Amino acid sequence: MRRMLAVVLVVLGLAGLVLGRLGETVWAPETERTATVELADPGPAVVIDPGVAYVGGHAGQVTITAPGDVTVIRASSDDVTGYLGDATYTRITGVPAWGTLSSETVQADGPAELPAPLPDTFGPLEPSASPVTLEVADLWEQDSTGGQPHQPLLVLTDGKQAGATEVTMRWPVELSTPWVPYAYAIGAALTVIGLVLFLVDFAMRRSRDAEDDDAERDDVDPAEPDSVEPVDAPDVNDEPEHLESPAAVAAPAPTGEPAPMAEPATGGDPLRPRGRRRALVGDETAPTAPLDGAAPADVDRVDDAPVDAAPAADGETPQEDPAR
Amino acid sequence: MSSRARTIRSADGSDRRPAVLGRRTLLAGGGAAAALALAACAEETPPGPVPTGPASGTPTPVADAEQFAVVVGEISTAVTDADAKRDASLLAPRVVGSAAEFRQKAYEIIAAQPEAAPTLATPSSTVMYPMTSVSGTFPRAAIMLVADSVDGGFPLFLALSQADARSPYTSWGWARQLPGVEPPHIEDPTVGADAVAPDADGLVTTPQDALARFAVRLSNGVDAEQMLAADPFTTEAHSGIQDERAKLNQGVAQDSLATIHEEYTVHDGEFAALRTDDGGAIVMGALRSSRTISMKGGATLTANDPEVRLAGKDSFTQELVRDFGEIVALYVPTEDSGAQIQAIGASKILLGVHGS
Repeated sequence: MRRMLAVVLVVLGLAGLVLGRLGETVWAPETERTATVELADPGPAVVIDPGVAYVGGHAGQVTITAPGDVTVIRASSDDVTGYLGDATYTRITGVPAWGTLSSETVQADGPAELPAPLPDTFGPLEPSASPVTLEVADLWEQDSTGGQPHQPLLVLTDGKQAGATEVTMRWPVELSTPWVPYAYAIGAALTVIGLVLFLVDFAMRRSRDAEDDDAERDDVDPAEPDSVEPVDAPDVNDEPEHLESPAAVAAPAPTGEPAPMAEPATGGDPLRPRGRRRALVGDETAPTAPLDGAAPADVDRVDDAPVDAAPAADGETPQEDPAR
Repeated sequence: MSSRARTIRSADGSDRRPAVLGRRTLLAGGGAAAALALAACAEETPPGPVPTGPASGTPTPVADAEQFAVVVGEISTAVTDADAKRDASLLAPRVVGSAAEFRQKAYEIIAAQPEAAPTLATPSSTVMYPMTSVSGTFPRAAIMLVADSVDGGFPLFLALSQADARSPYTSWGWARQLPGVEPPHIEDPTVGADAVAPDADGLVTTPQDALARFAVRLSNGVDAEQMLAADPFTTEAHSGIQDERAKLNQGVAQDSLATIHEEYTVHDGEFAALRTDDGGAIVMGALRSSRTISMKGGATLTANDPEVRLAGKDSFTQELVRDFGEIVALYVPTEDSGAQIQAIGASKILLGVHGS
């Protein structure tokens, strides 16, 4: 059950990491939003309606492409419509979907020429080579000052050619996918927890397997030592906890004689636990009880046995203290 | 290890396998749902409506001071160039209407009788106070107070108008600020002022009627409703008439040899008016006047005056007529103010002389 839980946690953790990466890449929003329109026959002027440049935010660029030098005029609607009169022109009206600017032709049957705009109406006029790029932030600074309605942008060339053939707006996207950091954090945490659980489970299973091996060896006939499978050399660094296992130290000697617990491991004793388990030596061994009232001569004391239950060092059977 | 694990799993697999499959299904379904949810979170929001800003804001000038500085500078340059060459065609396109006509007549007078050359007021390019309109509709009006081109001269009220968005601002005239008359304050030029229509109400009288009443008082000295305040221009005009009247009948009874009368009329089509701080209006308009000397009882007027010689003769038995053009600026107060109409600027120039 622990292993299954570990596997599930690791899988979920890895999935979280993968989702985080996908959120940063495949699922990440675009770094900018765009909207564009190509104008085949726009007339001598193109008017970008008030506020269209701010649909995607107050930063970015408006790029205008035209067949000649471009004059972009920010002016009041009264001035723009007064200047256009009955001439045909194209309005850019909005952003129906990211990637697209909507437009419409106005007064399609009107004159297709316009006189030169005047500074008296529109202020200083500075034609620029196509394409012209305007900063949305600059437009916003002008439009947001004074609490006035936003103003349209009048785009002209020479009054005869197309006012513009393409208008593109780009707005940067500042926000990244917000859940990506959480996906990374949760994924990493689940993976680590799963791996820890997995290691714990692995260690416990190894311990249990070793105990099973001990039990199996205990059941093996001593006359058939060949049935014991070879094991690795003893590892002196193994934890001594295995020695406390009753199955390891409390098994009675089959002959009824005291087990040669204090003897050094020789590798030839079929009853001696092997494998990764540590060899029993010196004072690490302790008989649970003396069989004949005499303790082995080389045993000074037994660590785990109660003092009053330990065999006497002089080999006599301990007597109950009358004072107790 | 792995074989042992498989052994353990296979030992009780009949009990665990359905649970394992359930977990897998649950895991796969949960993962897919999470992926879809996260993918949905990453989708772009659609574009919003077009923001149009405040529905209405504080009125702002339709043209700023910098634009008017350019306009006034070009007017001053055009007048200066035209005066230098005595060529009224150089006044276009900035100087039109009465201003161009007055200049044209002045050049003709100078050409015919250099001694009779009138004093020509010429606006400089220095705008002292731009009074701009916030009205978006056309035609538009503006009034600039500009310095005289002559040092020490009184400033000039320069009337400007723009017929439509495709036309330049032009000036049809300017009137010199009258001495001793404090002009009313008009809105902050950075804020602008409302344009006032010729027939606007709420004033002691409409701007159009104010000009007409001013012309009547100049002509006859009549102001029955005492709606007009005294002003230096009117006073000087009337005193000039009386001086000539006395000269014409020197040594005889008044009006026995000749009578003199100057009739003023409003010249239609040239009008500018802007609202003042107190709700009144500064009104500019053009007038025409004819000062006629009519001989009586077979009298003959003989004069060796350069101005009179413009008529091509120096002896008149019927009448002698001198035509003038005027540009005036009036302050018309609100109806409930109890104040009078005040002339704040006026200029007058001789346009021609004829007689028989």
